[in-house]
Amino acid sequence: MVEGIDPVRAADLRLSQLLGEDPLMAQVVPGMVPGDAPAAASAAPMQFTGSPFEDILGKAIESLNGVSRSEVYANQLIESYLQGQAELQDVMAAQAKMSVMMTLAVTSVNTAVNTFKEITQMQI
Amino acid sequence: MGIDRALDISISGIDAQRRTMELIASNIANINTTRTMMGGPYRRQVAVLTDKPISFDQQLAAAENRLFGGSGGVEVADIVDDRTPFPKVYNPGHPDADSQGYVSLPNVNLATEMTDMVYVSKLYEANITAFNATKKMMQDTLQLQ
Repeated sequence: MVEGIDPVRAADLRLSQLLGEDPLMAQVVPGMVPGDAPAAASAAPMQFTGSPFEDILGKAIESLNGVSRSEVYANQLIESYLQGQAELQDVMAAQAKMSVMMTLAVTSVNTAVNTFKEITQMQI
Repeated sequence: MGIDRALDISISGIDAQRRTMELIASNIANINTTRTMMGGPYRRQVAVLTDKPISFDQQLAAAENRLFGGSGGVEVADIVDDRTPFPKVYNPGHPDADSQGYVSLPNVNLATEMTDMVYVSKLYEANITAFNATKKMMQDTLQLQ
């Protein structure tokens, strides 16, 4: 993990630029507070708007919240390992899981964005 | 949850092998120890492994899917003493020698410990390979488009 790079913030920035507006921003912010405990940063319940695309994107962003929480957890594990309270294999496992979750979140956001782009390029 | 469980099982295997390795290291280090807190020479220690029971929610999920079997991984159930007798060596000058001049040495055989050590380190590698294969499967799933 590299200090100073928040993947959630980066992806959110990209999304809000793409969308032109950010109605989902308010939903994302509570999960990105650095150092927040995994339990405390529980995501707001998903609200269905009835617009399928917005719902899919909302879900994708919710999964980014999950990545943020598992990143916090992996960071805490590194700290406990340095203090001799965690095993090395647990730290590595948490990081491996986080990396897969990160790929999943990025893949779902990219898929949603690609779908959106395809719709905007539709000839009417 | 799902495929994550395979990762956790591999991690439990890694943990069990690491603990077994601790005992082998202790056995090798104490190969000439003639006095211990319990009295007498050092006794070779062996780990007894057991399968970890599946957690309640995992069992519930398995029952819902009608999928039974498997375990939650492995763990060290107990650490027991090897009961084989101590070899005796004639060495009357040794402070721990008995009245006949024989010294009891630990029942640790270096050749056995070395073979165990190679086996355990290969098992450790095998668990890591299983972990990586599972992770590769998860990453491959993400290639579905």
